[in-house]
Amino acid sequence: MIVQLLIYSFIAGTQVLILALGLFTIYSVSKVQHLALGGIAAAVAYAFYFASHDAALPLWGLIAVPLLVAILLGIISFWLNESFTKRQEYLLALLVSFSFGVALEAIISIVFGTDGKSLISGVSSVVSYGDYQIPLSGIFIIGFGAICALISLFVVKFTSFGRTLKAIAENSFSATSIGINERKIRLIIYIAVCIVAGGIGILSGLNTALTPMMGFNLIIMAFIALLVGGVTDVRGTIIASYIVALVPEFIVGIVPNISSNWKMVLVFLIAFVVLIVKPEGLIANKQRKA
Amino acid sequence: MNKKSIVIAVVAIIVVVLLVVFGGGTKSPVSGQTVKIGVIGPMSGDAAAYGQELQKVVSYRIAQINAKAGPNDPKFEAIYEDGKCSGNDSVNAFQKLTTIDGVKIILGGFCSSETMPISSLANENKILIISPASSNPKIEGSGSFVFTLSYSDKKIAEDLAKEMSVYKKVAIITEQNDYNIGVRDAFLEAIKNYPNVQVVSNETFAKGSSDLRSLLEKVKVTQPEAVLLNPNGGTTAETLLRQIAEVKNWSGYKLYGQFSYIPDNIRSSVGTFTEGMTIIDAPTLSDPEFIKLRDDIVAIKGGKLDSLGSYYTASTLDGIDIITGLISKLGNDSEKVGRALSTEQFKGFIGDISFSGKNFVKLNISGKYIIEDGKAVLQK
Repeated sequence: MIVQLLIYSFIAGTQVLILALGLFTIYSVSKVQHLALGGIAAAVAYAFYFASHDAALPLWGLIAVPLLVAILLGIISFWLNESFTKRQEYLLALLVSFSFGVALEAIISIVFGTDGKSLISGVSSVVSYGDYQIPLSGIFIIGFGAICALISLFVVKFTSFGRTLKAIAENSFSATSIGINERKIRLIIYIAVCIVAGGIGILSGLNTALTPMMGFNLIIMAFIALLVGGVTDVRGTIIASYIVALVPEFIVGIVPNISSNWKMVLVFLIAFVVLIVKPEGLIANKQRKA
Repeated sequence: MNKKSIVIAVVAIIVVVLLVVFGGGTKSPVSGQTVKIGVIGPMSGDAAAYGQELQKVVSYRIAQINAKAGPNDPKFEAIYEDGKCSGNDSVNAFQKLTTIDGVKIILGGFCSSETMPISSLANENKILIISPASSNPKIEGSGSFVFTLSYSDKKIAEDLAKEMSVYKKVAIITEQNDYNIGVRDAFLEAIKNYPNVQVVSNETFAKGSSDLRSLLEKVKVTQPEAVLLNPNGGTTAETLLRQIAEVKNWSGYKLYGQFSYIPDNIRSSVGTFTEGMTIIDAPTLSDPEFIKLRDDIVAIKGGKLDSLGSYYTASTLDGIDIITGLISKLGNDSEKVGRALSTEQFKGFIGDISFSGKNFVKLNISGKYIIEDGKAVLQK
């Protein structure tokens, strides 16, 4: 049972991780907590549903429609947040971003209705190994997470674009002064992160079901993971994502006869304890103080 | 004109005036007026299918009543508000109907989660609410302005407990929702009457959850011989079923369910997995007049009435008939209509309707269905 619970928790943790990494990346280059990512993930997943069920498009349509929606939402996100980033009004940016996410979920409800939608018909395929099993959609989620992590690492470590990102993250004023076009870099990051968030939205929908609010719980967990892990080191975000997903899932999974509603209470307790003990998060880069 | 004539004339005028104001033979107290009736149901959300079907039945019946109305009869207008099977939304709907629309009598809420939170408001504000479907046993004792035409979940839970008492180890999986919690609590109480039965797993999941695999793993390891699925209707009920069907190394148990699993579309995604599943719900009604009426509604309004099923379609029609009948007779007066509801007897499609001072209609019926060839077949 424990191994099986670990498998399910790992899938849940990977979904949180991918959104948390998106939050981390956008925060690094703009200092904005882009909480609309949950709504964006849901909107792209519903675009996929539209392409596959309502419009019944062939494969190119299943790729193109959600991709276009993700790119469009990335551009809108950039446009909404950029002026606040320039004026360093990060709290306002957070509020605008959160409202944008809520608005997206409302639009989904209006267009598609609030009753859930199933992306697949029939029972999901599973891969069994002895007494254990993993849903095929879960394998896709873990694979998608691994690919995203590898590409991110490669870009950051081995490309000039990665070095540019690091320069902006460490000191955006200096980066601008040496001729880096911050605006363009941020636009690319917003679009890329929205595409990845959309990808995880589709995979989450395949794994369970689509609901307009599907992104809300995920983004709240991802945001808590970002705070618990520390906003300056990606390793903290990775560890915290799995902690906030695994520990509650595991406790609720083992203790008999308790409601799954306790998961969010446990997430809050973890965040509370960690942030009291280490307000800067689990792993924090030492910042030079003036 | 002498004094006597003047007195006679004055008395005659007073009599005429009194006859005009209070008389009028069979003339309704709300003659010629259009009376607004509020309707609260889940028009959106997981249980939207119920609300949308409720709306079809109500609009059809109101149109029929208005069409048959004579010149002295009142006309009725239904004002629909979305309770989303949620307490907050139901309270908002109630406030809007009573303060903005001036409604005094409401058909609804549909879900227990809608009806229970507005019960105290209804009593405080003397607004009459008649639910066609709320079944949580806690509705009993909700005050003199609250009525429900549903059977109580207590009866359903007792019958489920009786059916499952042939097993030694049973499990129940419940969605965190007033209706489902009501069924769960009544089931756990009823199963105590069977000392040989042990509830090995009693799991509850958050409303609208879509990932239930860890919870199912927890139930699986307790090795129940029978599992009672107790979600609210719609996608959550379907998702729960799909994720159970997905567990390949879990077998040797029998599935039980309540009304959420009556609609065929909820079970169709898992193929033959639910064959033999036992469902306890209200009985299917076979009154030919009702069947014809239901078919007419489907023919004119389109779609289906599968989610409501025959009982709730009938209870909705009865609710509208009773409300409009009493308003025509007594006026749009929630106190008078409430008193009449509480004391009088009515003929309805669900049978003889009487409340006798209670909140629940007097009923002691349920239906047992077994899934055969993908259909929920009522057992004789």
